[in-house]
Amino acid sequence: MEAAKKRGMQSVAFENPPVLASWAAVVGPKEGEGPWAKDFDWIFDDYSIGEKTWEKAESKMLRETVKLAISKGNYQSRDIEMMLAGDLLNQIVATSFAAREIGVPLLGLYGACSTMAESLALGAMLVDGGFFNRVSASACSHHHTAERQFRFPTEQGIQRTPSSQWTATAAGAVILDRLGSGPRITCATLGRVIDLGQSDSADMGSAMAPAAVNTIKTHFQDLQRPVNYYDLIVTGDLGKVGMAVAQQLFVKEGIVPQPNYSDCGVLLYDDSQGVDSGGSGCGCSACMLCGPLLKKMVEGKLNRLLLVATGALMSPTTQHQGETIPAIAHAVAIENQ
Amino acid sequence: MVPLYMAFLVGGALCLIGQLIMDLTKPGITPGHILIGYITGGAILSGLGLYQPLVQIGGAGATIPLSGFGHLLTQGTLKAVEQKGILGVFSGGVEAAAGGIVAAVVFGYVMAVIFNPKG
Amino acid sequence: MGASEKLHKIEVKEYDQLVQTVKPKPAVLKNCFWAFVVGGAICVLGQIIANYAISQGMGKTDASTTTSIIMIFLGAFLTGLGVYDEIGQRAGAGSIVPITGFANSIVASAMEFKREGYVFGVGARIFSIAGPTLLFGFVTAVLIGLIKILLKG
Repeated sequence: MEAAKKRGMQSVAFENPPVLASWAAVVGPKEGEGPWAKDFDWIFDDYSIGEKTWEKAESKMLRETVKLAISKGNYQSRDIEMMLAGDLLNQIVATSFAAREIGVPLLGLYGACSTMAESLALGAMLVDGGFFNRVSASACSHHHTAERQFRFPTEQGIQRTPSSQWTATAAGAVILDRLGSGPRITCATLGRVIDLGQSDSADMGSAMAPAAVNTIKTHFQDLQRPVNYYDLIVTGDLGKVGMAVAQQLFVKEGIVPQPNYSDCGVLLYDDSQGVDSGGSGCGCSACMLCGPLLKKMVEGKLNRLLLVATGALMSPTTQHQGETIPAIAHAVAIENQ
Repeated sequence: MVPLYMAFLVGGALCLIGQLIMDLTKPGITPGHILIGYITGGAILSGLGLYQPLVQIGGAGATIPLSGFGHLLTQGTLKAVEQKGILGVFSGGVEAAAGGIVAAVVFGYVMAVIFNPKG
Repeated sequence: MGASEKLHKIEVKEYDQLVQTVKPKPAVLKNCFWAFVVGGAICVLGQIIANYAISQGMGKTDASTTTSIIMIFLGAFLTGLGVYDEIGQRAGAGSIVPITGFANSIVASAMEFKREGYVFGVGARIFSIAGPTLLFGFVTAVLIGLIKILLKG
């Protein structure tokens, strides 16, 4: 039997679009000083969150965010039948150690900064496919753990360039339910790995822009939606540089999104916060979605949102080996129905 | 003794060159590469007899940048070669730089014990 | 080279051209100014220390070694306090090139990986950034020594 829910080349449409029943967004100090501070559930005022290592802090942040989303929906932990989550650390340890405390089955994911969309898409497929009734989809990142793993020790005197990005210390979690009311995930487009030869790991936006544009173009084609279908199309973390590149690519491909296109990495921080090109990390798109964006959907200011989270799939090893940066972008459509 | 303004000018100039390399070359050229370039460059210029004049006019402006460390290694090696021949090739550089290396290791350890990274 | 590979190469080149037109360039003049000023200032401090050591009767070599040790201590201490990285963001090469930057890289690595214990954390990682510098310094000096012997003999 043909895959009845497949659309076009890379997309799926849900027969009974799963509901985003509840959600939570938790952030660190810098994000808490940004323009959306009042839309986040909790703001931690130091990077250690009372833990001895930053890795423990990141894991705690993810765990508490998932637990908060669960309690906001008036669920018990055991009501959540599956946890889908990911982060940037080697062997996604922040996720595994967080899941250890929550005690539900875990599907750990790695999509770099595209993980939030990846977990939402997969979670929606599990629910709409009749496999589970209720799942949680989440992602997190922490500035210091990313810095010490991918770049330099945090006290090293390096000079950031104007095209570099700041890994967000943030986590976002969503509970997807087969039943209930709220915004729904109606469809998703899963991205291919795209590599156009960029190798500057301090400017991942330029590496990821082609993947984002490719996924968005494929999404429009597969679902036969016009470029003005969504109230807002938002990419995960292309940053100012990546966003400018993407805007040129949109024109080239003839798919300039209307009326609004923006990027979580650009939105998350204020210009005065010294983050150069903008935010990055799994937590960037996760907290923007689970904070300001879903809030606007509930208030009816946004009715159709396309979240296109983008990931740069390199490692420090491949960087040292002189490899380029392959990238991926996954899109999920969230709509008020 | 070298006047302070000469130390400022020579030291500043050496750092300026490093900054230009950082800003104008591909992102693949990291600060680590630049430091290796400095220590190697200092060592080679020293071997050619070109670094000592810079030390004479710039004083600390030439010895404090990492190229000065390369100069130290080369001069130590050359002196030891004169005195001991081939044995000096291996021992001379480290002997001259011993104070600095041990200081780096010991202070590194002590600071790591006392302090925690703040990010 | 196959047709699709050729096409991909053109795509890559065109895309890079697009990126270079959009990507902001570093503020070279401003960076160079600060690198010059901070680097120069650090060297002046070194000169003051060296001058003092000589005035206390130390020979030139010992004065130089003493200066290095004190500067390394300063770089290490400022790193421990969490201040050196702030200086580095503004000063760039002005804080990386002097020997204080060498100390900074050693201490930063050691502090960071303390969480992984003293043997595999501090011990193994303390030279992760300074190590390559010393390696190439030693190798170059040895090569120069060998060349001298060949030229003499």
